[in-house]
Amino acid sequence: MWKSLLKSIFAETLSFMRVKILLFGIIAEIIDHNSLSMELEQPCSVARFKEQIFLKYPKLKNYATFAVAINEEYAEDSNTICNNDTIALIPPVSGG
Amino acid sequence: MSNISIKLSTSKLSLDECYDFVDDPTCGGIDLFVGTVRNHTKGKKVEKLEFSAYAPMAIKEMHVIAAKILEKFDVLKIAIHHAEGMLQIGDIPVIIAVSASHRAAAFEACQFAIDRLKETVPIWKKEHFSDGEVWVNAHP
Repeated sequence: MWKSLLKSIFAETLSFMRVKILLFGIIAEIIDHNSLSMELEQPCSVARFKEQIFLKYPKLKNYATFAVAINEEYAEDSNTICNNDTIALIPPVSGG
Repeated sequence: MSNISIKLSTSKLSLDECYDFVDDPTCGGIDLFVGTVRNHTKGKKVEKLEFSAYAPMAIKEMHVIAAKILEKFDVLKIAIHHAEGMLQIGDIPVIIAVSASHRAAAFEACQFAIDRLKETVPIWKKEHFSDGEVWVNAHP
């Protein structure tokens, strides 16, 4: 009986995905890496992703002005991150 | 697309290359914007500028700007070239070249291009001073 109860609990569990997050500029410097790997529930909104990354890397909250790109395109908070997507954190740009 | 030339390069940019690309016998005017590394910022002496990029997205975004310009302005060709890496005072980080039948469109398109590039293209510049380095934050 317990076995079938546990089985049904796990069936309700969210599935997870591992995503790669590219870092640039000031963010790459403060995190001291060019990329990160994170596990997110699948699928995951950009808004939710931001919550998760601030939890995992609290230093980022001081540099919270960044855009998120999914597969080399700017994304809104409402956009969805899917398995195998490449995410990038884009701090304020200063080209030109 | 033969009317658009986009480049992100660790080698020195070429004014001739940009000019030659947009030059066309149907065009009466070519507008060139050349960005240069200046030796000061906010009253402080700058030694050099370091440019880094999210290369594939930077190229995509420059293409988006170029396509927008061809749609919005009566111009023929556009080149947007940006440098990457360490640049010295007087070096050229960006060239925008636009050709058009008439000069008004060329001027407007060129200004639009550099203004948009500074807002959207994922390239970052870091100022190097004698006493440290600072990532430039704003859109001037």
